[in-house]
Amino acid sequence: MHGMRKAFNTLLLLLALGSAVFMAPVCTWCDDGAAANRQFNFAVSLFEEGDYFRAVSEFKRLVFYYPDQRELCVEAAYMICRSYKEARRWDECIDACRRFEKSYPGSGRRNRVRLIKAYAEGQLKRFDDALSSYEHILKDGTDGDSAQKALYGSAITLVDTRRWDEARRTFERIPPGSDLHRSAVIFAKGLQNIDNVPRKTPVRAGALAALLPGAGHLYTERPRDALVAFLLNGAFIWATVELIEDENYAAGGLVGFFELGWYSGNIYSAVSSAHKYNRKREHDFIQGLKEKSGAWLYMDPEAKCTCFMYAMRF
Amino acid sequence: MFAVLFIVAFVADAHEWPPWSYGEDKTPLSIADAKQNRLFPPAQAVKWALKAFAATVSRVDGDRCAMMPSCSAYAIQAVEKHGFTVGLIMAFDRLMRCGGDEYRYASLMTARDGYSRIYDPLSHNDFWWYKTPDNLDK
Repeated sequence: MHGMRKAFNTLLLLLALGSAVFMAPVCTWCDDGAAANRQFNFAVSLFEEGDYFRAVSEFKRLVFYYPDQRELCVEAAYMICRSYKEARRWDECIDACRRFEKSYPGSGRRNRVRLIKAYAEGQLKRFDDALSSYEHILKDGTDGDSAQKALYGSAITLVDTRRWDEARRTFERIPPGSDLHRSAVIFAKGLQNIDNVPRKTPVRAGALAALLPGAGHLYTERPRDALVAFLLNGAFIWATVELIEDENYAAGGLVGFFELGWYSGNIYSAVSSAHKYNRKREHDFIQGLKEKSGAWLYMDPEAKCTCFMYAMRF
Repeated sequence: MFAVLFIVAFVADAHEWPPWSYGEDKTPLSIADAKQNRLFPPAQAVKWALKAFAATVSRVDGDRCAMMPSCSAYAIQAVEKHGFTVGLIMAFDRLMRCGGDEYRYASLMTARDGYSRIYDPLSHNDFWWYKTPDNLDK
């Protein structure tokens, strides 16, 4: 009886040990899933606090320690791209997006990542790259929302490169059913008036400045600069003439050299002022259109229709 | 002693390298780069004269320029970037505009001394003929 009891206890012990050995991987897997979720939530909380640097580290930690949690890893890699974008670390953002495309080419997030990449390229003034990234999304054609945002983004990029007609045509391609259609219509209509923005002719400004120092500045609406240019040139020309009439050629030559500098500087300044005037007018016009149409929201990959409409000014 | 030096070096390093820029290449220009940046003698002479002005007259006279970078720093940059003739023309242009109507076209920036100055870098004045990615609208 005693022997049987002992054998039963031994069998029980062996069963317990065996089940522990067989169940261990399952439990570890359960633990991994829970731990990865906790890790992801922590990283998201850092992202929401605006601590993007640490958020990136924590998302990377998740990808490194829990590569088997594929869905979470894809989300983490996507959040890394977003973190870099929010932190305005454009080069790192583009690298992260490239890594994402390489590691998870079939992911549902791929077009949103491409949108982020295109935006970062635009911020770095790499407009051709940005346009090519938008084109990539349009060719993919699987995600309607991202495709419309890509269309809108490429139109904005064309605006940034001053290709007004192409930009207007691209805005017009956005379908009426899209959330972005109303904004695109405002932009397209506004761009029809871009030629009516007041401009100054650089050649005329330069010619006026050459004829009478300061006149070019007056033409470009810079009265104080005009007065300074007129007085400086006048004083130096007068001094040069007086010195040469007094046969003081060395001093006359020196003052004349400086006058040459003031005179050519005055012409350069007038031409440059005309260009700056035009750029400022165009910039203000485009900025007004962007604000009126709520264009800044198109780049938020998580932006929803209602949010977008609410942001528009009427 | 070594421990103190190590801590000092570490603190200095931490100050110099904020988290985001850790690992960025901060090495100074190589000799090859420096040779490439060597200026034509007249331009070099203008640059030295302007540096001498900044080191002597400006130091006594004070930092009174209304623009940022200051006119002398701007002139040095212009000569370095565009050479003697164009650099000097741009310097004269800047001297004429200093503190004038530029504030209507440029933004104000707070300098290290706490005063607001008109931000007018070189790229704001050569963008219309010197096309590089850095010179595009900013």
